[in-house]
Amino acid sequence: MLNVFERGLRAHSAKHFPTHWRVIGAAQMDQVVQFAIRRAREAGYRSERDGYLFHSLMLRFGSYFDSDPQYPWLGKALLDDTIGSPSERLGSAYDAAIKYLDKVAGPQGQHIGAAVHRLRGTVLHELRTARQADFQYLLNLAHITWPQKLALMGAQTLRSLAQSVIPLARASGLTTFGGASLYTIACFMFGHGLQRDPQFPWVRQTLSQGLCGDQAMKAFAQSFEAQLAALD
Amino acid sequence: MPLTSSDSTKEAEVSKSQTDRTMGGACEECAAKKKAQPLIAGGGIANGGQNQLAHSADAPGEPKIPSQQGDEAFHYSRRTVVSSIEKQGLRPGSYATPAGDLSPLQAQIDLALPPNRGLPDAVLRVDLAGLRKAGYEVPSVTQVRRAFNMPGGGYEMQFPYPIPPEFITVIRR
Repeated sequence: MLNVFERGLRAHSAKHFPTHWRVIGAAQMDQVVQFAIRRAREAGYRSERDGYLFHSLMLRFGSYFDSDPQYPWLGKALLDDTIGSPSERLGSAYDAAIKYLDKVAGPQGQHIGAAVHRLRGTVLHELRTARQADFQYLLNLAHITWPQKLALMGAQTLRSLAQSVIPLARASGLTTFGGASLYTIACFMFGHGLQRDPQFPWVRQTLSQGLCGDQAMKAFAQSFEAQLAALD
Repeated sequence: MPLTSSDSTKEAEVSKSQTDRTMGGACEECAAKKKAQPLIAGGGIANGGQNQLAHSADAPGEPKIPSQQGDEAFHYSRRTVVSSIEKQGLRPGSYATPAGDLSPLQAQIDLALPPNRGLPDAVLRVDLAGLRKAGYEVPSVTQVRRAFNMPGGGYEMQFPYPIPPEFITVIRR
């Protein structure tokens, strides 16, 4: 059961994040809202405004945006205690995040829409059949998928992301080159905490089946494809 | 997931216009309890937020175990076949789940539906109470196993008989 504030945040999600609402579903969004408030509280935020901003950032950048190697500037802005109060820093980080999103996703979300299309049409198939992969291969795929985002984050940041998520992917059974690359691209799209993120319960469900190698990769690709289809 | 179709600028204005009140407020149940405990003020996170934590999900994303054989079940399908189901009902061997609140994506995953047919964007309610009244035996609920590379994990029942259209209502098409 949601409390008054949580219900407000839930209604806010339904109104201002229609795609998230449609894809995640009302029941799961309740969990996302409660999780957001819990995380905001753990991070030391107190006001309702903080809760709204934190929740919005979670929806836009993934539930672990504050520690995501793709957005080092976000984490830095939130933690820099030489500047203002935590609330002020969250507000500034939020402003910077909106500007960033306008560049990478496009004012109407057209870049992210195109990225979803390219993933479904080309990249997913390529990854399913990948036998050999190195960082350059991953870099090329990220460029094909979402060039605007890659241009802003840079190759080194993508490398940091890959280094942080590939061990987790391998430990979860995605032991092939294609599987590890697929997981990295999914994190590139949806945030580095994918496996723990209540916005994407299918990730944990898919990776906790005890599958390994090609089987794990096929299962993950299938669910990832369903997520993209829901977004498309 | 990133913003997609949200109007980020408008949403940003709304989010930033929120007040400095502490997060929280109480759910109705807690509010009722608090009437007897007037010294415990607020309930927001600034006050510890114990009440909110008590309502938080233990593990976000954990599939909920539905009650067995309630009065209704839900059939997830594609909107292109809804009108046919409305006219002819469901064929023998059709499935339904006690969970009526799944998004199309989560239905695909939890119910291990064949991915090559597209996401099940329509939901139909099956009137189990009505079926029972009419003399049908309602099948038991079982957990969905992995199929079509989909993890499953949800709950389902399979009807060995055709379900006439009068027991079916379209919830979402």
